[in-house]
Amino acid sequence: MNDDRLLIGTRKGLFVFEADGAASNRWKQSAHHFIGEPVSSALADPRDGSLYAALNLGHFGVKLHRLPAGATEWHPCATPVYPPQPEADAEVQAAAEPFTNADESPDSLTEPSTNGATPAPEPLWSLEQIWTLEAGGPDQPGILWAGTIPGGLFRSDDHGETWTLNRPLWDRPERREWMGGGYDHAGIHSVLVDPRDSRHVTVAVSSGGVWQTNDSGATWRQTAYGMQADYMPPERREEPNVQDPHRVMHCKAAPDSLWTQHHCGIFRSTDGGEHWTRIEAQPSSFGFAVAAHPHEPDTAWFAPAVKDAFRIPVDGRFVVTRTRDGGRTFEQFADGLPPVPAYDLVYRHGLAVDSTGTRLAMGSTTGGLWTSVDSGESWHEVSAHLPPIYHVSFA
Amino acid sequence: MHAAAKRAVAMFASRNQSAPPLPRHSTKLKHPIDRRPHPMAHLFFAASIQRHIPLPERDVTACSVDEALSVAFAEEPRLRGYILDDQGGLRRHLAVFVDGKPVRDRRRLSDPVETDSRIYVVQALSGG
Repeated sequence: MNDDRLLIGTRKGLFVFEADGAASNRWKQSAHHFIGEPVSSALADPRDGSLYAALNLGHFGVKLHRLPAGATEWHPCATPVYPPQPEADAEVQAAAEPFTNADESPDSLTEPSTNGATPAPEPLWSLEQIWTLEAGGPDQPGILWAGTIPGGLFRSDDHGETWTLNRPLWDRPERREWMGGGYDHAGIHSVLVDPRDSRHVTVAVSSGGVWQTNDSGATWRQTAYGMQADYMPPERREEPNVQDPHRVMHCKAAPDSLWTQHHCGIFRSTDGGEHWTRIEAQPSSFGFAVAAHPHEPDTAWFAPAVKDAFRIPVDGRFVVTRTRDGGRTFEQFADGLPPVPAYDLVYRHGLAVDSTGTRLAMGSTTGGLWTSVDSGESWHEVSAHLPPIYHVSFA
Repeated sequence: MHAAAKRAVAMFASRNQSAPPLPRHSTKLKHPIDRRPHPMAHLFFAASIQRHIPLPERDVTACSVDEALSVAFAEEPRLRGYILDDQGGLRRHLAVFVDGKPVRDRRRLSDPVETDSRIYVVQALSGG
């Protein structure tokens, strides 16, 4: 994998851009797959060169397609399927379904109990979105992880031909307490496979904290201690299971160095997620995306917005921030980005760094796509007119 | 889970190990003593569905909507995931009309169909 391609997942399809010859900051569109369909995630598998695209067709559900290396035709993979839902949970969900016979008064529908004696209503155990796709380790050919909404982690051992829900995490009682963050139901958006040990996997949940396994998913432990959820009542703000880490990334060369752009700010861990420390950045510590330098554990990039109730760039000035000293100081870069006023917002998977740490790519909800070849200090506009961008990755 | 969905899951499971496990008594007939001749209904899928999977309209022998759909699922197993959610219910933003009326049972699709019933599977209009 030489990082000379960009995969751009958008509301209207998967775009592929290729580096344009010697001008390393010039990219040209080479393909547009699944035209018109929302692409929620994409993956270029570094182990075999195949591409995966997760579609969210809305009416017709989630689909997954694979393009093997060298092939020209995508073929449909199996889609993760949730197991049968216990009947009591299903009854609650059925009462909330929108389409009812016109002859049937809404008043006749059973309301879920709210007296506190019953568990929180379960979402329908049915796939709403593949939020992230990740390859297993280099020693695990064919193994894929999918973080999903609602709140699921699926694993495939056969290039996406079959999928299995990780029950040890799904069956944790804390999972029933997870809340939606960004979507109606909770979801897993970050899956980090430890380069030192593929059995060690870290996942992050909006909203449900950070969970880690050291045994390929047989057992899990919560590791969001130190994060602070300002949106909760004071007595619950430090509970790890209520945290909303928007995105978690690690330094590939030093995986115990973790960064998160959290709903309430930036947090960092230098001990593998056992403890997190809050970091204040300017112009803001709010945002969705974070990119961690692959070799320098003290370096990370962010794309800030004002705050959670005001999700636009501060003063209309769209900037990228970078720290190179572990969060003590931040630089702001706007060279090449749109002039004031700009209202671009970068989602969780909209900021990517290549394997050298010098090239970056960033896509916004306004359909802007930019690249940098100087570690984020200046940017080149690849397009200002793409559909809203959900996913950016080097391939 | 209704009988037709069980059969569809069985077909699906043979192709996909991640499909839900079959409930017990999965081979039990839904209408074991029903000896009436099964009616022939007409099944139509909206063009928006056919954009993904071509499905010409066809006659199906069925007593209920789920039986009618299971015929289509048998011919095109991928179709099941387009029409039903993971629990076998009708997808949230789809509707099925039988002779112009929306089905009452969205979870099991047990609504009866008659000879010459016209079954339409359509999508709600939303998004941009």
